[in-house]
Amino acid sequence: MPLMKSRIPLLIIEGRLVLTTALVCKKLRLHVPFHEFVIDTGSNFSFLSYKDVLQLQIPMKNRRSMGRIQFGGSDFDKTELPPINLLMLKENKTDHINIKVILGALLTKKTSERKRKIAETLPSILGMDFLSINNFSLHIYPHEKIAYLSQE
Amino acid sequence: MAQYADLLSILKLRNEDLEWYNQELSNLKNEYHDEFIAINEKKIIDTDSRMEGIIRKLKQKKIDPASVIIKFISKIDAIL
Repeated sequence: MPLMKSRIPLLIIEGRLVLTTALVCKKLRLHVPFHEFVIDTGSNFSFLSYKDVLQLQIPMKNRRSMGRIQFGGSDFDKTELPPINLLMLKENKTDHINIKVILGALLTKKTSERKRKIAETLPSILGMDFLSINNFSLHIYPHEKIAYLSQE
Repeated sequence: MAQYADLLSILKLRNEDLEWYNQELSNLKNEYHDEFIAINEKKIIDTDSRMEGIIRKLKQKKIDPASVIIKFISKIDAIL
């Protein structure tokens, strides 16, 4: 009997593929019911955006830098975070998948108002590393406005 | 499921809020420009031109910023 694949529905918002999850991390005291990630196959990293670091109020003092990263035309410090559990609802909206992921956090030291505002508007990203490590395949039917992740 | 039942039931509600946002986006773009909006139960509960500003306003109302949807509305489309 073939294994059933789990489907995780995605929303298509302004042409972007959006995955919604709950976030849990004891070390960061995160117990958050809703978070949005953009699935970006053009990114080889997964990270929480500067906006979402602010919204989730993650304490960022004394965290290890993982170097600089260019994103959305801006330059950010990529900072290490402890592993975070992502909880995703399956298609039936009853069952869920719980996956532990390593995410960086993007911080900006931009001082100009304009550049800081741009940094505040960029989304959190799940990139190819997330899809590959967790054995997800990505299915998109733009004409029907249907997209989902599936996992063996 | 039981361990995270509280989180997952709110996740379902917020997904409905996000679908509402997606449906209302063109109307919202007419109403707001370069502003952050906070959404809860298909209603705009606060706005500010800065992320830090809207977080401060939500906290003043004793609302956890992480418990609502915050979106940036701009007439200018952005690519990553």
